[in-house]
Amino acid sequence: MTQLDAIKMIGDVLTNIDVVTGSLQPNDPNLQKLMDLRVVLDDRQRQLSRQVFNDNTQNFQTAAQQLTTVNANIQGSITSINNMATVIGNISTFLNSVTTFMTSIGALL
Amino acid sequence: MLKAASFIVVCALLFAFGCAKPSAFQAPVSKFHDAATSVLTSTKAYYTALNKSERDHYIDQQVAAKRDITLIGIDGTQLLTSQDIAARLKALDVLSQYSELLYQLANSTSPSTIQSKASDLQKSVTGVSDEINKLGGSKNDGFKNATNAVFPIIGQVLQAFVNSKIEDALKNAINTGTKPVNDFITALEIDMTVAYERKRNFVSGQRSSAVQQYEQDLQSKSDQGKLQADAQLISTAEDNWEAFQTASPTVGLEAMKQADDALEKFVKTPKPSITDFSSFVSAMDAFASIAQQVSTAVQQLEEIK
Repeated sequence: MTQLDAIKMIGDVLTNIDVVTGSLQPNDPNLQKLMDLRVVLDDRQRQLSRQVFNDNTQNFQTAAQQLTTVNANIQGSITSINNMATVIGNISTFLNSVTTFMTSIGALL
Repeated sequence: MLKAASFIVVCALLFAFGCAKPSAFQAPVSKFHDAATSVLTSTKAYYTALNKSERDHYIDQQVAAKRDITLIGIDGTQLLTSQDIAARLKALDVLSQYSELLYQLANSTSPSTIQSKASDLQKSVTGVSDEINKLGGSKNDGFKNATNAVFPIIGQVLQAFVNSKIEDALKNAINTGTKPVNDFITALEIDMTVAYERKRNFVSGQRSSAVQQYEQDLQSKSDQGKLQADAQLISTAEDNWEAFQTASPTVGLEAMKQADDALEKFVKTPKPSITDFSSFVSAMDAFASIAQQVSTAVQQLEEIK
């Protein structure tokens, strides 16, 4: 996986979050939780977009592989609005994985 | 963007066939020129909008969360500095002018006019190169490397134009091939992928916001006029989203690289057959089609915005 692939992957999750938030009622307590997660994930994508990393290093590829695995695990259930606990849990897991990935490659100071 | 250097190959193609500008080549050459111009314009639109999109997004977020808006906060959102973007736009302008010069050459503008324009453009190439080399930060490394590979080639061709040694310049350009050109396009693609992904993020967010606004107003029993206005925003956001799916500048740039390769392959074929020519024409048609699609979508996004 390249740095650009990681940026795209985060983008895919962001658009999925938007589909879910655009399908909830305004008074749904999960709406704000999702919006908060979106703000942080958006910030991660922005920070990753502002810098250039050597994605050919072993360190990058190892960290990227972990992120890819988490991403694969949450596919399919990320927009299941009938099970919001799972949706929020999966997005939180993905966000944590992105944070770990970015910390590993030095993208988060 | 490297319609410019690619055009060296187009001109070489015309020269290879006796400087006669055979009518059979006019259509594909013209298509390449127009398609490259479209892709170049779309690329510039993304560069120009890059920081504005980030600023607007930051402001929207702060308002939604009822937080302070600060200039430090705004500056902190910028993906490229204003100098980085200015240098890229100038590089695109140089290449645009260069392409136009070559296109004029291929369409029988008098050599004396070409000489004069080439001389002016040569100075611009030097100035823009200096400016690009002064850019700092690892974010610019790829762009600088690619520019440093392709601008000297352009400089040599321009010098040959000035010295009236056009055929020598074209032969050199053909021997160099399209690799520096395509490397430069790749450097642009990296910037454009980031720009497209960030824009996708914002356009997607606007879809959700539009629906949420309608739902809020529906629950608070707003009047029909307000609901109609909200519904119009949803419709606009969906149009925007739909258009965005085909507005990726990297698709246009990638098509340009393929067209470059097709041009190079054709011009290096010693005795092109009808099949070779047909493949060349098809490649130009494919490029023109993709460029048009991207251009239309980008234009629609501008209008919607």
